[in-house]
Amino acid sequence: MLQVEIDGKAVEVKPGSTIIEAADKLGISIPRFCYHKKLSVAANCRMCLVEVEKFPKPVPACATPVADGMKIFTRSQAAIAAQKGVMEFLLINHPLDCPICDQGGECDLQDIAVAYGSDASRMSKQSALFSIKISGRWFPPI
Amino acid sequence: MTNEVCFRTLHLPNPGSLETYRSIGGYETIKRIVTEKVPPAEIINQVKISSLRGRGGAGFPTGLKWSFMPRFYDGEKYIICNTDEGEPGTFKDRDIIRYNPHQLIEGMLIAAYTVGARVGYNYIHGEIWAEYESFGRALEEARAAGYLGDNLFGTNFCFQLHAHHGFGAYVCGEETALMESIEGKKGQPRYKPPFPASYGLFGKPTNINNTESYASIPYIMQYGGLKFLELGRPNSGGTKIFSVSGHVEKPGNYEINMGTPFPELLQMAGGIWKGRKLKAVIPGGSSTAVLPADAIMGATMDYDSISKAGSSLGAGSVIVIDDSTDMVKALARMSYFYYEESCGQCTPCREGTGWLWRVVRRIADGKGRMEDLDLLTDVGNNIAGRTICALGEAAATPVLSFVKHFRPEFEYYIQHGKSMVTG
Repeated sequence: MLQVEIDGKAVEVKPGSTIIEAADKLGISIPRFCYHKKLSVAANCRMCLVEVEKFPKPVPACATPVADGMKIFTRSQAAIAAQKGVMEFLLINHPLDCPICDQGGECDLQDIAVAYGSDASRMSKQSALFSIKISGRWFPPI
Repeated sequence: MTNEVCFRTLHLPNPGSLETYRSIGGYETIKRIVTEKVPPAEIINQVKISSLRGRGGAGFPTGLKWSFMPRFYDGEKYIICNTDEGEPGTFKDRDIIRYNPHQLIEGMLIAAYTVGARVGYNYIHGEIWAEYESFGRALEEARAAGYLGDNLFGTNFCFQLHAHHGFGAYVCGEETALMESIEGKKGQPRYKPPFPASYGLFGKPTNINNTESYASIPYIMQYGGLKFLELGRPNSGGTKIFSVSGHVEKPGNYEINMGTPFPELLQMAGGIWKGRKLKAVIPGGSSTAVLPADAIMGATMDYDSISKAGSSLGAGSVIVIDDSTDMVKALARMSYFYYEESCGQCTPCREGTGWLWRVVRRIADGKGRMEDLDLLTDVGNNIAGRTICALGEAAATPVLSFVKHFRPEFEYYIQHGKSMVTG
């Protein structure tokens, strides 16, 4: 068994488990989109980036195996900056019409955006790259 | 001295042929190594002494990389040569294949012997078809002459080398995306670790190096690592091919010793064209940071000096920019390239490269806002270091460095809606 510390809380996990598994065991929530415990790890949504002591860059919690004595910070300044950055990227090509969306209210993106994102995007409206379909109507890029 | 290692057959007639390569002692080194059964540790030691650093861009010591390969592994191991040079400004590997393919084959033979691989692939960029075909002919020549195949030189050493071509995707130059591509999958990078030395091509231990790195190996093993090191500087040994392009009189490949001062290289390339002045240089291909004229003129062309100046040597693709260049338009073109080439696998690069391009294009269209400059820096920093592979950093670095070094030009564009240089 390996001893790791997440946000100051110690936990024992099996060798080979990932940071996100250790955090789930502790009940610490790390935001995630592409991770599911019954699927293979893709590590491409980058929402679960966390800071690990002595690592130069934030690492994806879903794909990083724990090491003994690892100290992980899910709410440090660097981790929050990474999570906010990714959340902003995820929303720039997503239609922001939640009030008329069928998924509104039962939406992981909405929940995580509220919890981990910023309240406003710095992406200006006029610069969409692709036509987007809103309520059955196509809006061309401007 | 020029053309000492990778282009050493260039002054002879018909430089790419097997006879020419044999006339300078070609394939003698691998024959000696195989028949005398030189221990692999000794070869790795020579490569470490030579301080050969990976020529593909990252500059990782080649000897160290070879030592990561598991020595006692029960099963197939592979070696791969990465000739997928898609970086804007890079054109050195295609000339090695064109003018000295047999040195590359011999270098791969030595590598295969060292790491214990029996099969190798040379992954050639999809946009250089003529070189792919000429390398195929060189392979046939080598097979016919008994340098590739089973039981080479009367021993039990076997090695077979195959040419493989991509279809021009930039991201397939990333080592794990390249392996996915050879396996027949979508060319998207894998998450690392595990590194290729433990889980590479078809899940087997794989050693992957750049073409120029492999082509330097026969020289190192023929004359010894120390002689190669003495050609260059400590910590960056040997010679390096610099692909000089942009606003010079004689663009082309120049193989020079590491540590040559930049003004000397510029002079070799005929100086700045049309009698104009130097404005900036991108020293290692478009994914490295741009350096203003005074920073680069004092630098020497080796890994340490260039990184001290604030950039990196990359693949040695020197892009020279003269003083008539509109830096905002230049950056807009480069950002478009990275937006176009992002594989779309992970979020920051997929979304961020398009955002960077849109903002730079907006400034170049004269519709920029003052806060856009900070936005560019912020978005660039949000991409860099948060992606699976290095393409995110490659896209962010030019934007960050252009805004840092040429901020007045961007500000003029935003205030006046036109260029400071071209008007």
